[in-house]
Amino acid sequence: MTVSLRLFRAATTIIYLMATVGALAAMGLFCLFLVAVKDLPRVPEPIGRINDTPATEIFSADGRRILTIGGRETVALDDVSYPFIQAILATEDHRFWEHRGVNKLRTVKALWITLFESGKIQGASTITQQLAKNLFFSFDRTYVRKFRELLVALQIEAQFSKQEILEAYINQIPFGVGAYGIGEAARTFFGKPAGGLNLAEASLLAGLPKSPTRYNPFRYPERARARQHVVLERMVATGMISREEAMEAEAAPVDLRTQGRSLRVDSYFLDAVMKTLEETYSPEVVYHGGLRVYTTLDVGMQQLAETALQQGITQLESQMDMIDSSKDPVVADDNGLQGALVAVEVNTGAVKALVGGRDFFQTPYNRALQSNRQPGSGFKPFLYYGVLESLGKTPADVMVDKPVAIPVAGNPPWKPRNFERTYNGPMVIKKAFTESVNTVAAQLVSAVGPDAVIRTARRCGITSPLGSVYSVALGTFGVSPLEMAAAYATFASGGVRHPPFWIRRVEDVSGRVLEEHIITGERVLNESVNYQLVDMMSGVIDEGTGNVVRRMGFALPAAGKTGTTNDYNDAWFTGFTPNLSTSVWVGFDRGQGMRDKNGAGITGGRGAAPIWAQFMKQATEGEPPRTFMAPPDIYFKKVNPETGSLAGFWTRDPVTVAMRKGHS
Amino acid sequence: MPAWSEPQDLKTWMVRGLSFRGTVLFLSVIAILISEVRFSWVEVLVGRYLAVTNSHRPESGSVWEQGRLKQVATQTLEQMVTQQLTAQREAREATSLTQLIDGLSTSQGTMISAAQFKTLYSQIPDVAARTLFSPILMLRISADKSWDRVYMERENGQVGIYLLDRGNNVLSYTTLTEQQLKSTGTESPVLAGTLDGQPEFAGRIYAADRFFMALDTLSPETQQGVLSQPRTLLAAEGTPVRVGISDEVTADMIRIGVEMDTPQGRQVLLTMGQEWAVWQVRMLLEPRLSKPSSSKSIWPLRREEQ
Repeated sequence: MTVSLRLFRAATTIIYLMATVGALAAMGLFCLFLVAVKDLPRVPEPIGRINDTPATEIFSADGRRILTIGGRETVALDDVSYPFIQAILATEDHRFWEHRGVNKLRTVKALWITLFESGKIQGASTITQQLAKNLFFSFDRTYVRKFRELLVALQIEAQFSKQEILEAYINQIPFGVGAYGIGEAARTFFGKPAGGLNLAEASLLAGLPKSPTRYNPFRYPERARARQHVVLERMVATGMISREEAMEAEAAPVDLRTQGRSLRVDSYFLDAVMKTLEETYSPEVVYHGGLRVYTTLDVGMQQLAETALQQGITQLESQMDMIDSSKDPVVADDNGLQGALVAVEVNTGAVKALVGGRDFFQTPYNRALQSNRQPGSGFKPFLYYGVLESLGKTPADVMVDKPVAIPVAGNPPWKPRNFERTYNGPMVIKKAFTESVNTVAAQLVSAVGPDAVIRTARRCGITSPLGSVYSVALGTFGVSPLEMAAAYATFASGGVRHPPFWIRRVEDVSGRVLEEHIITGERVLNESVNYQLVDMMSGVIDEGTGNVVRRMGFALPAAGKTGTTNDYNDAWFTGFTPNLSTSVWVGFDRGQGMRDKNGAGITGGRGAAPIWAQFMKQATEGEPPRTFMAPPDIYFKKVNPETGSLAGFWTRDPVTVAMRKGHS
Repeated sequence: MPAWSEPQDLKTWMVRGLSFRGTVLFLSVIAILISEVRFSWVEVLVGRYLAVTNSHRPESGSVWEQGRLKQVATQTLEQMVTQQLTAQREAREATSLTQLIDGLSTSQGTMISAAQFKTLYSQIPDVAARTLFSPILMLRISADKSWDRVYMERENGQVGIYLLDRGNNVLSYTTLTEQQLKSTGTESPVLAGTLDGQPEFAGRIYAADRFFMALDTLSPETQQGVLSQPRTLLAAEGTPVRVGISDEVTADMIRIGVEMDTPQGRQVLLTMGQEWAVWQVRMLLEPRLSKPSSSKSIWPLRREEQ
């Protein structure tokens, strides 16, 4: 056999082989088609109306829209700027006007690379295929899914015009920051309609759908500009614009919308609102029903709260030498030092500001609502109210600060100690309260009983589980900052409890009212006894453990209580003016103790009170001083802090106490 | 070793390979492939086939799922709104407070205007009106001009009535029990059974003749305070047998139950009396309640056995 004969024979064999493979592939494709076509999804018609879902909008107390969920805005193709159409076509599918749903050459090339070049996956989806994927399929990368997607793309091409397909596509692609579709993206990023985009803006936006998070221009402007360069290069390469136009667009400044640039500060609040809505109306209604939700959020106050908490925690971290938390993994919690702040309007219970942590996107765990942390001495007001009401004691009665051992049936005696480990002997009750003396509190709870403390706490709105043990008076059972803020608001309002709320009104898309919050107030505490307690709590701020508030320049009449737990795991300060009650908590999620570089513990007065003071100072700026209203049977007297007897001019550091007529 | 049938030279190979049929087949395949690349007719055919069979395929996939969720949401909302609108319409059309309250569902309350509430309030008997809100309070709130609406809801077997201002702050509120509700009707409410079945009257049940004899000795103002509408009692079917005085005081009003012997059996008619007036009857019925110096009873008092 000659060489040429052998070659010819081999060539013939190859041709036969190829023909066989081709025939088999065609048969395989046909079989695959028969299988895939069976449960292929139905394509809706018209395809341009696919986004027609009403949006759920959430508004702040002053009527500003703070969040929109769903409800895509459909923009007609004619109303979209031509540079954007060019840019998106050049980037995603420059042969869009020519193909019939699939770019065969690119598909074969991509298939080859994916099959024969290990570790590489090449995409070749046309705009129609992307539309099919977004409308019907999951994002699983399987060959069957790709084939089904291809078939739907072929149908879309056969059923709709190119204009309809392109319009549907640009109205549903994600651009990031919650913006879906070109209309929303143009407004979110540039504050203008889709028809007003210039080449620079259009090319920036056209680059985003590839990876909306990675190229987010608010967070990563350099990456976004680099991606814009790629888009402009593609436009030049496809002949849509000239090199000069591309250079001009690249050099042009891009004015991103300022308001959209700032990160959300109200995410924890909105998270709470969403959870409440979902529980009340079901997720389907919330995300697809188009609700108008009017909340109690004061946007300005929320920003102040966020800033105060961030700055306060950063300052604490610097005191604790924790700026680079990775340096000391033993000290640092996974989420680092955290905090929460809740501000409640006293006379209504409306939550004006709520911060549940340092960064919602880092840790969405809402510490303002979900975290139940021991309040420490922050729980003492419930004890002292019970003592004044049930035992008939007055703030001028004398107790002795001394080591105590309270007998507990069936258990070793309870021996609470003062934080300072010192004992100051006799003192009036008001002084014991303002200086947060644990031994006096222990004696009082053994006299009044833990149930009285729990009863008062429940009357004020504390709902967390509380055990009937003496230590409940020293705050050994967890509560949330929201509970504390709302419970203290009961003291601030003269003993009238207003349940906290954050949704004022909910309407449907037509404005029909579905729900309205009714501001109910229930008198739960005796007004005069409550006033005596508020007077004692004012002492905490004026001369007690929360005095840092005054040192920081907060001058309005206010009352409050610090709270610190064992090993400095939690630092609390909850306080109020006659209008606003605010609770601040600082600590680690896993409860590591907080100590500064010198080993000194971070107390409520040091860790939480400064945050409270900074927030309240700004939140109440411009408010006229308003004192707590004293009931008619209240009178004041100055007493000796150690003996409780009427103070004379010679008495050193006399204490002013509020007394009830007939109860002296 | 080549097969015996294989061509032994190139020419034979060429003749066999480039036969007319083979060439036609080859060219046909090539033409089909080129025309597909050029005109994409396979895509068009498949696409048209799928478009034709579109209506026979399932509504699956995320876009349909979204549509279904939207439908569920719309239906749920419509249901809620319809219920509310129905409740509001019924509330608007109510001709009496009792009718309005009867129409309240346990799941949702209803909101009516202050003007409508005032109209309904003015229709109920004075004594019953006092159990809701005292007329003076109503006048004070009306004069304040901030009163805008009234919200009513069922809660824990009672009905809560909230007078609200424009900001939904509660100006005043009250809760009514089932029996108090009945007394807001214009007719005396009737309960089947005897006074012994009503715990609120325990220990304060008197023979009817003694009660009315005691009442007859009091001044007309006091009599009016105890029984504001005696004609209603007179018009009731049956004969009074016993009279009970409730131990609950609401807005200075005390409920009085009159046990009637009727052909249908024993029934209790409920009415309201002013506390100060009822107290005077009780002092006559139970002299131990009055001070020794002033307790001069002319009646041979005897507590009815329970």
